[in-house]
Amino acid sequence: MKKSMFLISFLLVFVIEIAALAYFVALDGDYWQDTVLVNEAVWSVQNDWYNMENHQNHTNLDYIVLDLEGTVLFGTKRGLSESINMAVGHRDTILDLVVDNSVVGKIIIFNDTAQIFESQKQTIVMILFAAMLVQCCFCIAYHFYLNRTIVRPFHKLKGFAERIAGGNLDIPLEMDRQNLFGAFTESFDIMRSELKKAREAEAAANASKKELVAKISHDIKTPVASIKAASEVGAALTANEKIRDNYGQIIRKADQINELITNLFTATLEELRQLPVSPDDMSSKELPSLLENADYLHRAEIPVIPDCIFYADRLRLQQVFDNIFANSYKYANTSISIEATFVNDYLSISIEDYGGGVNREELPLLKEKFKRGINAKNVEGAGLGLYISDYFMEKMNGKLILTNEGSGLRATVLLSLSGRI
Amino acid sequence: MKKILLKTENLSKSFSNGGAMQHVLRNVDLELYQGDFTVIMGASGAGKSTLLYALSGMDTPTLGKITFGDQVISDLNQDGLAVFRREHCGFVFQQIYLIDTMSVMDNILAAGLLVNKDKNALVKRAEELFEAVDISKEMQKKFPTQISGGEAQRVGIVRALINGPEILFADEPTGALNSKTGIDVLDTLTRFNDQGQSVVMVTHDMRSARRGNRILYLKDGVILGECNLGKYVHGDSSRHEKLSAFLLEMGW
Repeated sequence: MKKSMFLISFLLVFVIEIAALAYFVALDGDYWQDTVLVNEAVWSVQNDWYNMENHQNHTNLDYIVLDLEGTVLFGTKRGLSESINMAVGHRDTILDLVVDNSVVGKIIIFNDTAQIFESQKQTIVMILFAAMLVQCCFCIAYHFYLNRTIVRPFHKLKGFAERIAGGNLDIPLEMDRQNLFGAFTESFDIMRSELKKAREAEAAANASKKELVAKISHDIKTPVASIKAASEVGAALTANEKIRDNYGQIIRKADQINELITNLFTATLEELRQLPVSPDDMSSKELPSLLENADYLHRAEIPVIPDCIFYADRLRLQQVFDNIFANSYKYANTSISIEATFVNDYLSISIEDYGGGVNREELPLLKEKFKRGINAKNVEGAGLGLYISDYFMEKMNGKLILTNEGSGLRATVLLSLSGRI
Repeated sequence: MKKILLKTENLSKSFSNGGAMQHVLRNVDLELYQGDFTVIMGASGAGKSTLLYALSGMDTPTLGKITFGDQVISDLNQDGLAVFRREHCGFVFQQIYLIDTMSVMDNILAAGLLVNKDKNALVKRAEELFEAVDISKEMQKKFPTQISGGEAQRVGIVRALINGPEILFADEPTGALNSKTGIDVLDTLTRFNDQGQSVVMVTHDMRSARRGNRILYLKDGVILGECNLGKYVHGDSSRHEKLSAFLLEMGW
């Protein structure tokens, strides 16, 4: 509704402009004087010729009456052509005055077409000017409208796609269903949630497989331990050298099996290490947008980031920030403060919430894989986020430090300055 | 403790190269001291000239801060930078850029009158400087096309010093000269430095670099190391050996 109103008024202004222009083009510069009025003026002057002092102008024309010597006998107003020469120059109408069959003087009827034309021109220029002004305002308004409805959602979509590509499926796409692109972006978000479900199902399948492996390896370890114990007893009891050698062999092989099983269990976890990190020089000017992207609930105020160039992988750094903010949302759910300073050869970004922090005993374990705090029982998660973030920061020559501050948990991301380390 | 003339903090310069950002200078923290003959060395493309242009206010850095005394020159606009350069910096380039239609003396006065309106004092200073660089009275009346390259570069040094700049910036001053005239020019620079003139010179010529008392080695937009030659006598072989060892260590 609003949109059609807008379009109609835009078109209306355009039509007014075209009409004004067309009128101006069609305007005839040749104005004829009204012959009847001219005749009337001539007649009235001729009638009053002997009594010009009392002559009255009954027409709306302006004129001058001259006698044969050129003396002005009557004038409707000042500033008219007062001689034949001036009148010719001004293209005024000059007529003879005939009284008693002889010419007694001249009447000069003022030609006002130029004035009329000028005033019409001014009016049209004013109309056109006003219309263009209105149109200009419309254009500016439309520009902002387009920017808000199309350009900005596209930018958001770009960051969203990058995050999906980086494997972060937790952060929803902000959208406005009223918007032209609302439905369009919604389908993207549906794609994200479907992808997330599939990913979770896969993770669950993987986890159950891992559980199976863990269970079996535990199951295998028990009889192997019994075999080893029995062999040790046997070796201690026998006096025969050869048999003791055989027992020793059994013990060594049992140890070997134990080790292999442990490897099998940890190998599944080591798959996490396959994530590629390719850091490069980045400008500090890029940081605010990364932080804004991560803080999708707008809980923090982005501080001024001091100028520098640091070494990082944009995508992985975004994941680290995403993770820190997501954790704060999940466990603290308070406002967040961010600080950016230089610490030795690092740019330090500390992100702090007011959720009371974590238990002191748990603090050193937060970055371990599959470790979760006791308050995490009712919150979904795998206990991998900070482990992976720490791994990313390490690959970028940086650090992730978690500390308990007075009011909450502080995550400090140290980014190494290029050329310093 | 020497007085700090120029100071940079996280000075960085980036160029956009077909969408990819190229960081030519990266977090350069540098202090230049009064009275030093600082030489910036490095391979082609290391960022030497970019650093010189940023330090001298000919270009603005992308990130970071440059301070001259208590003036932050990285915050100045183009007009402010022009005034800064005119009043505090002297420049000697590989190309000398003298005005061909003016005599040698007039070339100097034209540069001087931008800052100092007292012509008599200017002529006096110009004559002193000409004497110091061994340019005779007759030569001062000649036109730039009538003098040799080495002489022209010495005139260039006079022009750079006419306004008594705090720092003299030189970008490969001997690059276009043969070795004999190059040595004359370097001798001139060394002499002025001995009298207290601060000099910052960019070069990739080892013989030129030897003239400095502080050598900075730039690689990939970062100052990789620096070497102090202050205590070695000019022309002494130990000075040369010290510099060679430093450059070898830097991977020259």
